[in-house]
Amino acid sequence: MKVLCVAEKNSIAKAVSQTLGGGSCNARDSGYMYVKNYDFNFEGFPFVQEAGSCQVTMTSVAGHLTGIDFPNERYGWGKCRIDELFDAPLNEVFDKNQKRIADNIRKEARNSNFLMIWTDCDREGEYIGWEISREASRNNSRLTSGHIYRAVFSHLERRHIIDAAKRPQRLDMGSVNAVGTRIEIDLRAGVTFTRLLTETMRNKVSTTSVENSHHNNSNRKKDVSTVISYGTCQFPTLGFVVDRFERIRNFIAEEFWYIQLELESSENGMTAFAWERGNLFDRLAVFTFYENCIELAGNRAKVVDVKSRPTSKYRPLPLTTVELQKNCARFLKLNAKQSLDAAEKLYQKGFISYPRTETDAFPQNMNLRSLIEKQAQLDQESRSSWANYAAQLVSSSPGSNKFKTPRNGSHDDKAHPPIHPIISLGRQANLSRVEHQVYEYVTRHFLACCSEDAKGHSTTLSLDWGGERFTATGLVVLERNFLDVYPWAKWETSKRLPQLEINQQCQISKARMKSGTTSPPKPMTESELIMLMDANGIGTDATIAEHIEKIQTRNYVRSEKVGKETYLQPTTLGVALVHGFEAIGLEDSFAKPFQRREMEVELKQICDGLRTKGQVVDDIVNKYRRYWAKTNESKNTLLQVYDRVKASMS
Amino acid sequence: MSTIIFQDISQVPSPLQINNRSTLSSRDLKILEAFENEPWDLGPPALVDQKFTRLNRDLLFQIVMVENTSKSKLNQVDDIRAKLDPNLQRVDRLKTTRDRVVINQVDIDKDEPTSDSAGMAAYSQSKAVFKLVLQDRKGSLFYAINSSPLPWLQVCMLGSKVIIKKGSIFNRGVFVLQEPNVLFLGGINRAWNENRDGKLCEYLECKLQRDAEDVKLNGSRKRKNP
Repeated sequence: MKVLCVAEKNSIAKAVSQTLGGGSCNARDSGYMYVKNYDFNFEGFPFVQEAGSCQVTMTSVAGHLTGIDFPNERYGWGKCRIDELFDAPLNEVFDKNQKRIADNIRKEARNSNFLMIWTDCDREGEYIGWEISREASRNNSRLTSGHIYRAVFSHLERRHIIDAAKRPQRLDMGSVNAVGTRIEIDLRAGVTFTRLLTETMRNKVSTTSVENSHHNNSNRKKDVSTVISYGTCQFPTLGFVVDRFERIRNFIAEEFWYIQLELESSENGMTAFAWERGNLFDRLAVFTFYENCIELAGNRAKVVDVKSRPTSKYRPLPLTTVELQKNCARFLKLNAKQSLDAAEKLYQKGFISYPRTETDAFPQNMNLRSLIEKQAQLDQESRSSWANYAAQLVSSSPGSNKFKTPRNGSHDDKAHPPIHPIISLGRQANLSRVEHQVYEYVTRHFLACCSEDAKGHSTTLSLDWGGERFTATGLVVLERNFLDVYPWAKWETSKRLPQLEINQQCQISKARMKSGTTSPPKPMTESELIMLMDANGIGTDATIAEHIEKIQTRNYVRSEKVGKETYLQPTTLGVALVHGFEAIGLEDSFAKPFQRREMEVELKQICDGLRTKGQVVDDIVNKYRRYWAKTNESKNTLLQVYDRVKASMS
Repeated sequence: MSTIIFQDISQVPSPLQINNRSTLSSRDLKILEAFENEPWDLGPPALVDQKFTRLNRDLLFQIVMVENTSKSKLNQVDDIRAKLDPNLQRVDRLKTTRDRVVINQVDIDKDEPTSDSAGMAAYSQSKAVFKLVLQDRKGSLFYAINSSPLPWLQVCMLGSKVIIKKGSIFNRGVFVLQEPNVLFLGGINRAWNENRDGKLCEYLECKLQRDAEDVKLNGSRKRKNP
């Protein structure tokens, strides 16, 4: 009895093989340098009827096993009318490496009785699993769907893997079809519009880059292969950056006015009270309130509310991919790609759980204490800076900050738990600096989740002055709790408030009418962009980083360091493309997130079996066909807008 | 009383020719009285010097203009533009519009999970202060601001009528509207409300242009504090 197992990466295959093989497995070459075949024996697959252990070979792929593309002979660049590509047939294509990997799969599948897929448990992984099963069954017709299983796992911990092997499921064809749909739509829309845009604007853009290189005396080679690409997620990502840019560019400062009260007391000094109405943009209105108060109440105010109550600062929610990327960008100044890549490496090396997850609630029965105990590193010599904190958290020594079940968020992708550390950092830990930073973040975040909220006491005083309300709030931090392990949250004791009682009359030291001006928002940062993309459904936790990188590679957006902060600014080309399409006026705006969001909804319907791939592909490709025709007629608009934008930005 | 409520009161003669006043309801009588009462005196002393007084009679006005002083003009212009063409709204911030929901520029310094931002926006707008331009039957114009929330301010039509009751505060040209000293009567002037959004947008944009030019000329618009 022989079982072939296939994982998504070699490191996963190796780890799983060692676990299932009980520590012993035999590695051999596969024909592709980065993939090895691991042989071992395992007793525990429920689909193997015979008693005793069976032979297992575990191998892997390296991401997607195949790609799809238009047949180059007939449909390559310049060989056909671009709009033929909406209906053109699609070919399975293998690059050089994929070919070797596929050959290996076929060879190993030949004599197998069963196939078990061990790709990552997300939609893309499901699709890759299907690519693998297709390739395997090409060389072994006995590997029908009844003989194909799928392992469900989210990290490499030993018991978890053995459990996954004993409880296999089937490939989810809904997800497979959804991904297939997305791939086809992205290809057809992407290629047709990329070719159109590149042909139309290439000359404009190369002229600019030649001018620039003369100005900058740079040694840049003239880029003959400038590509101006379009992608269904790329453009909305660019759209966020351009909209912020335009908001700043079109910003006009406005003056506002407000009233501020000050109370002097011997113990507390000066306390400022804020007006309940906030800021008003009309001077006469504020002046009227101000004069009336003086007329009605002079310099006496009455205390109308004293609220003194315990308050807390919430510990963070369990960690999702987007939160990780956002916070690494904000706190560690790492961009989305860097943090995700590092998290991937950490996962492959076994340090953290699967880093692509939307779930922000830990499963009920998960043993979190043991993970914390590992972080306490009590049996080790050199311990992490948070080891003491972890030890305190689970010890029985006195203290207010002890292990508490984490808060539950409301998201569950049903595939993976929130990101958490698995093993602690030993001295031999072979991690790069960035991986180290990300691991530290994940661990501190996890420990904070399992700690008590910070506790404090807040007092709010409300005064009535001539009918207008003013408040002041004070905070005393009583227990820092999670703040001690999570230095990125700020919560500090503020200045003490004067001791006043309800209905007490007090004398105002100063009542002033003051003014300020509004200021423009800051340029887009990486973490803000991640947040906007996530909230608008652009890109998945895995691809958000790719899109952000792509718009910079394509020279639509560049990053600009100002002091400690890095901002994303659109280039002339980026702005011109967004405004160009606005000028053309398609029904769906390419640079706004609505269209992509609607597509995601339809993909989900395919997952849920409510619509078929054929229906959705037809629907959406037809739309793009119409849009392409309209854009093709409006090429001049794009060029004119480019010139206009270039002039306005110089 | 539709004569009064649905017409431009500056064109209606006073006192009104009414056959039998005793047949009118008490509410109608009130309206009539407020309409026919002596309008507010423009001076001397000039309006701007008339400090803190209280009305000794009910007065009827029509609403000529409503401006939201609690929101910046730029924000209001963005909102109107987004309403007129949802496809052109800026997406780098969150606002909930009817069918196209865009996500908020969340305040990333708050660790708390995002609360119902639409609800919060509605709440803060209910505390908004509006500045009205009111016109009496003689055609004179005055300002008014609301010191208590008056929900009808967000939806009232231009040309609608309002009675400011005896006891209300008047200070330097501005009436202060406060429940229960104000009675909203409804009514409308159709011509004034045509393309109201468009007109308001243009008006705010002109004001913003003026602000921008002021800054260019003077460096800033800051005037000395009173």
